[in-house]
Amino acid sequence: MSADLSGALFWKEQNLLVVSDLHLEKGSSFAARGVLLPPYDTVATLSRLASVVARLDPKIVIALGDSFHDRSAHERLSSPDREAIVALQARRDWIWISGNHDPALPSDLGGTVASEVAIGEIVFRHEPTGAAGEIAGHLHPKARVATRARWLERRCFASDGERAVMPAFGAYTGGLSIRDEAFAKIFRKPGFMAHVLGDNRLHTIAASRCY
Amino acid sequence: MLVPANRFEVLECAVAIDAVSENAQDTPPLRTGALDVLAQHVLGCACGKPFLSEQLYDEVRTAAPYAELSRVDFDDVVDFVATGGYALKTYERFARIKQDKNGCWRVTNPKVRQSYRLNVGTIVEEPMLKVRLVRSRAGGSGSTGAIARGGRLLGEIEEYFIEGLSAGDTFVFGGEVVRYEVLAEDQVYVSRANDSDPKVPSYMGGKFPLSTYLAERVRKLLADKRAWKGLPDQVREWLSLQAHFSRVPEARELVVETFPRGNKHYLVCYPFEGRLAHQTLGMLLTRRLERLRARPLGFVANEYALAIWGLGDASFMIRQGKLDLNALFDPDMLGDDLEAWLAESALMKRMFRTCALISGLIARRFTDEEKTRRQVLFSTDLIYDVLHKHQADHVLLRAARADAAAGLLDLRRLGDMLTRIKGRITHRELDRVSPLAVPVMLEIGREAVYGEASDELLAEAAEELVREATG
Repeated sequence: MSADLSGALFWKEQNLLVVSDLHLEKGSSFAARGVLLPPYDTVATLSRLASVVARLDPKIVIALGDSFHDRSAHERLSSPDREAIVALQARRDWIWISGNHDPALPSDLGGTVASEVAIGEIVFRHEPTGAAGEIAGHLHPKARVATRARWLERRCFASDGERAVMPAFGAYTGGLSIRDEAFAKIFRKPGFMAHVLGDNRLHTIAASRCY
Repeated sequence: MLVPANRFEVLECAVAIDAVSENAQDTPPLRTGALDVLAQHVLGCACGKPFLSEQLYDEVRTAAPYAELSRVDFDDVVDFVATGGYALKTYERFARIKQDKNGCWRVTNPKVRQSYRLNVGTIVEEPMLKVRLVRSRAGGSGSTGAIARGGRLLGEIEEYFIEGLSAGDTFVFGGEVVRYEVLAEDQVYVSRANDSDPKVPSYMGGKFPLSTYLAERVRKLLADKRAWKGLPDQVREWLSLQAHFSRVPEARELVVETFPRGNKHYLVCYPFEGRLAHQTLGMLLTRRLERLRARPLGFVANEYALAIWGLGDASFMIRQGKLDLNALFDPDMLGDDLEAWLAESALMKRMFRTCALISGLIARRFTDEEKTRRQVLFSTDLIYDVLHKHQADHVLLRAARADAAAGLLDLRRLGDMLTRIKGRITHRELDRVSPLAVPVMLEIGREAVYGEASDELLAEAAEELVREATG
């Protein structure tokens, strides 16, 4: 299983692609509360996802929860964005894992809705529990690294080899520091790693050395 | 009373006294009214009482900075206040102000008013970190081990200052000397220390460019060796050392020095065109250096000089003919390079953040939930990227660009300088920092370069940590 620079996870043997926390329609969700963010986040997120899918051509795609920013977000999808999702789903199995932001996904979105998926020893679910063999999202890990020139803050995968938390894929998704207690609870032992998304490659840095 | 704080400032004070005796003026030109500020004003007017576009447009233009405001720009700002000003008209139902049947713009609900009142104002703070006092951890190396949460809150400090510290450094805060232990999210943990030489925090607010035209007088003073007689001994000595080890710039020439320091390579030049023009030059030169694979990391400018540092050895590149200073300083940098640079620069993101906060796109204080400033900073960067890609002519991006061009770039002076020094560049390869370079090297307000060097830095950090762990 390999972490992709885009923030997706690719399991070659299973031809399986996982993306987490797309938070589609986060812009319009804020707009409804009076913060008029640019309404282009969904198209930005979907076009990034489309390029990953085109590059790796997976047989199965798992959207690991919080694919939509709120319960009614899917109703606000524009027709072109809706069509883009349909196009992504063509010729492959598509699984929407439900998350805390989108606990009840409708069936007209295409694909299958599930609360979790197990393939062999591996379990895919939205909120991490700390179980071995678990791939989760929810926390939006990011790492700040002190380099000799400046601080660099990037999204990252968090993993100890037994379990992993994926970075958020959405265009407007912020991050939670990998040093937050939430990660300590999942990994328990301090020796977990941040796989930091650089510009052109991933960098593996001990979480204890990030901020 | 004038109190010079370093040798360079003695020169500045000397020429300032001359300028005063000549009754010379140093007045900055009047600024054009910013569109983000106008947006806040338009919303404020609507919160007061309903307004008609025509009347408000006429009223706004009675203010000198907005006298030339076009109707198109004004209408774009009103559209922005109403629904965000997006090409995609999806936010009509979320409008903050709406026209009634008489054409009057009215606030749509009382929450808009409440939010306006919480966020009114045009001064935007730098990102801050909370400083907490904890007990010292023996041999603390900055980031290993669990972080002791809690601790008494001593106050807030600019993130910029902490970024320049290493664990174990001491600084003065709240009248005490404290040791920097560790940083976690937006909290800086410090312990009491007993150091006779602590650092003193500097603040971005302190780096306002004070003078625009003194620099030229300083350049003339430097070039005129006979005039040095009137200067204090220490300053004369300093200039003589500069003449001995490197070169004192003549009136029309540009002196460029390259030297190693620490584990970085520096390139320092002395254009004497003021901080703003130098910052722009810094942005454009680092871009070119990046293209030439000199791997620049950052730069800092003051009123007289610009220092750029990076991983690549500029001295070596010049010797090998891989770096041509005449080409590097060619005025054609003000064309495509400038446009391309602005599009992706950290400075534009910072300007955009300011515009987003002032215009009311993003609230600084929320009525329902509190967001930390750190989260706001991060999210405006994300918004900038998306907006720039999908609607590059959006009114807020125009506002950010105008702010940058007028307030921070000083393109006219930079253009004049580049033309003046064409064919008059003198390079000195040095084995250490020159006397003249010291003041700029101590300057605050460093700008980071965000380019391909990022990956290299991350890789280096990763390797270094592996070495530490296995060695």
